[in-house]
Amino acid sequence: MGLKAPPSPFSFQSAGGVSLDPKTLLQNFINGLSLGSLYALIAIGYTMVYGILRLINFAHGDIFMMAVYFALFFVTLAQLPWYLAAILAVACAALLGFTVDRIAYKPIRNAPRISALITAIGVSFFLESLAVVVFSGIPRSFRTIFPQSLNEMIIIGGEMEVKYGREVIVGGIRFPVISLITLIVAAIALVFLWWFIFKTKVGMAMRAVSLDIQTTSLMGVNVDRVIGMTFALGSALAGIGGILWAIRYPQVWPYMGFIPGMKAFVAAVFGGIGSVPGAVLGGLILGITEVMMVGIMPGAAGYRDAFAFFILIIVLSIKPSGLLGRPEIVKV
Amino acid sequence: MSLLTLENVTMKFGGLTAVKDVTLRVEEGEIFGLIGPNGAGKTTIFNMITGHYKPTDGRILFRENEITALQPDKITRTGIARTFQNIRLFRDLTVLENVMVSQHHTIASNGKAVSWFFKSVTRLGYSEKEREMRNKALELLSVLGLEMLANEKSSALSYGSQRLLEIARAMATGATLLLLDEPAAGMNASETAGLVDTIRRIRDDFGLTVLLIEHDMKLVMGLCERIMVLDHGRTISEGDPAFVQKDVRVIEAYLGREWVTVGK
Amino acid sequence: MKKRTKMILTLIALPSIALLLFLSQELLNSYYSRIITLIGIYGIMAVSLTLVNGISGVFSLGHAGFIAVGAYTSALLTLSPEQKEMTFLIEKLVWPLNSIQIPFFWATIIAGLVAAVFAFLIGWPSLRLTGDYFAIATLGFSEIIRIFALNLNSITNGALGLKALPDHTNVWWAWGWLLVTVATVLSLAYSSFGRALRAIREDRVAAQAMGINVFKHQLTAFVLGGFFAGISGSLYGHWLSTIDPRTNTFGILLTFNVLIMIVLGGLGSITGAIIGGALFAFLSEWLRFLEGPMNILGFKIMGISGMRMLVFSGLFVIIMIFWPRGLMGRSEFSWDGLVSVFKRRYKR
Repeated sequence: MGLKAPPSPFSFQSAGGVSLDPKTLLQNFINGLSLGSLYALIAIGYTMVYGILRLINFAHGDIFMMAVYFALFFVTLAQLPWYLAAILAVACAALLGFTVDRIAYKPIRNAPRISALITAIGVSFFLESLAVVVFSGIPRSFRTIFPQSLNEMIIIGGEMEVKYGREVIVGGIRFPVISLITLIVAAIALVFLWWFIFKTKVGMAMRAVSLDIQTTSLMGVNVDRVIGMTFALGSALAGIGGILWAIRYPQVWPYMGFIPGMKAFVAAVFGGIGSVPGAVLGGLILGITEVMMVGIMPGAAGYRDAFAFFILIIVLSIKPSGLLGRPEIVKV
Repeated sequence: MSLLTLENVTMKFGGLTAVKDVTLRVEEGEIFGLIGPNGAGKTTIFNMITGHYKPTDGRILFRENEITALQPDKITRTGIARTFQNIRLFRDLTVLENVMVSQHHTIASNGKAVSWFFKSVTRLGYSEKEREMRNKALELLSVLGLEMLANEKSSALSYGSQRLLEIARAMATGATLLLLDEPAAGMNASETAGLVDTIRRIRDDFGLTVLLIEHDMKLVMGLCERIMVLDHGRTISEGDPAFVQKDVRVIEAYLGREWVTVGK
Repeated sequence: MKKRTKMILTLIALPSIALLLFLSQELLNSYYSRIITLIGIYGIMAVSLTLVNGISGVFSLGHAGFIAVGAYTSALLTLSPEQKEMTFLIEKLVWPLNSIQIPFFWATIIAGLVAAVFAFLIGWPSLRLTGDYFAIATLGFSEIIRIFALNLNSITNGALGLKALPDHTNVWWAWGWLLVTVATVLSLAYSSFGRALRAIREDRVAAQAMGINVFKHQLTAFVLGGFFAGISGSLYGHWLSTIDPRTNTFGILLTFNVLIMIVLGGLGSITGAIIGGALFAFLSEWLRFLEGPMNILGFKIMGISGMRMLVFSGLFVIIMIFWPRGLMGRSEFSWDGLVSVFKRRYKR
């Protein structure tokens, strides 16, 4: 009735409108926190490597992907129980990270940064195409690997109602068990990381190397080994993140690491590249805002991934050193 | 009016004060020396003049116009050019190209940039200007004795020649004030003597003003008409060579240095 | 070699290449003649990226974004209104695009201009950042473009993409535009502007100190690179005849492929970029056998799909570690250079 303006390409309204129901918001907050801790786990690897080598390890997201495939095959081929497979997969991820550094990054330690960056991209594509060749590009499901109980919902509050002839719980807050488990596992991993970096000798060596490679090596520290350990540690965390991710989003395919990897990198930059607490903070904030955004504006769901990139552009334009980072002074 | 004026300039990096309350005036046509022990803040002052650092406090004026915290390329276009302590030549470019690059801004600033872009692409009316720049560059190279090396890659030059090339490159920008950062570093006695002659010659022939940082006292005392001495970011003495040499405060700062006995 | 001889050689070379191209279309079967066309398109992609990444010293990872913009723009302009009516099933295409149809030549030029505008909008905030950050920012923008293309149903037809593009791209368009691209970029590279760009690449701080406005120069190079990327996108889209945003055809994989081309050919060499593009096209086709059934020593071995990319990326990493200068390094093809290569062979 009457004249209607033609829908603009950006008409989110036409696809669901805005929803601001507080219970939904809380639910989204919890899911966002869980997603954010996954981003945080991956972001730590990026930030540690950048802090030491000033290198953006493009291949990091692919190590995340490899860990998932490792877990998949440990269960299906080696017939290992899922918890053993998970631990082994994380260990293999750590080894893979260490190996990538040894083979591809170590020879070009002294090359110009652009060369290192290009090489990292090459390594990333290499790992992805390796996965395509070895594991085939067809998406697989992670659902069969882990007990399905992990995807069941925890429901708080709400009432029983009879809808469509069945008893259904309506209202209240619901989120899958895995969200909670992710938070717990991530917290444990972070505590371990904190202990490792601040209470062990190797951790101290890592901190020293991130501040000044040359002086640290003059102090008799085997810098290469410390760098390798840093890669291994970051990769292990990414591996943990990967497995938790795959439980939640069970589609497994060779390029699955690209978008989460990029988002985790955004989180690391947002929090202050080079700062581990910054990576955690950035990851959590990014996860929460991403889920909240989709929760509040369901019509914008397709743009979900672009959201992280927008954050990246804005952060880089306003304060490239991020939330907790320190600006670099260029010496002339 | 002084050519270059620094008024109460201070530079702090976080908690570290590199330069504290320095006032400096350079008159047109003179050769002015800036000396002091390592870490005294000399290169920091250069970096503030050229716009690479923004002074925490104070003003910098060039021909009575304020240039504090302008972008480095803008400052160069107003007539101040520098050489670098650690040589920063365009390594992959030839000697001639290094000098020609410095002339680029004369044809590519602001409004003219667009027309020059299209002219570059279509090559209309372009070769005349290119030849002009080339001749000017060769002229400058011969002033510094480098014309035979014009087509060599700049990275292939000897250390001393590279330092001279840096000077030629700075001159090619058309600057009237040259900031030379340790031009004699790594040179032996005869090269240094040659450099003294060269600097004096280019000052006379091209009507330039020279502000230089140096550690080689023979060069400083022999070449500079006025000198300022810095220590820990502060001015501790200023005047002509004879005065500065005998100044007790300077001797204190350079405790034990044998150059005290060198002089007129 | 005398200057006159060189000029004569170049003047002979151009029509000879044209003759070879003509023959390729007449004599080769359509499969191979299409490859020749593709090499022309790859050449434009590679040369435009060389201007940005090789000569100006910025590192852009967003090239695929501009190529995509060019592809979509020209496709939306060359498809007939009836075709658009049929294709746009989710939402109708906005006005005035839904009723326009213009010739391929103009569509290509507009594609380049639109891509250039995008490059300006992206370069303006991004070029204030240093090396790595700029690379990631351009990558981010390229992804944003892809995601928007996937979702803007009333402009790009969203996930359905654009199909049945008219078969405009042929050898002459591709290589003709390649000639224009090479002439422009070469002319620029050997001008004072090009010298300034190379100085910026060598030492940004020193270039600034010599009076060069680094930002303006890099932005200009970036926008020009974007323009030609858009042109290549228009040609590429019409060569593929389909634009599907769900696959990686216009995503980061494409950027990576172009990177392979210029690294192979020599980062910083314009003629090297073309050689790299040709090599990439040939290798891509030749390595296809790895993905089909193979007959080795009488044994039948099943190929694995995706092997090609594995070989390419492995090759890429090896080149970056052991041979980062690529084929031509930073130098261009020259008649003198060619002669000296032969001289060295005959001296033995």
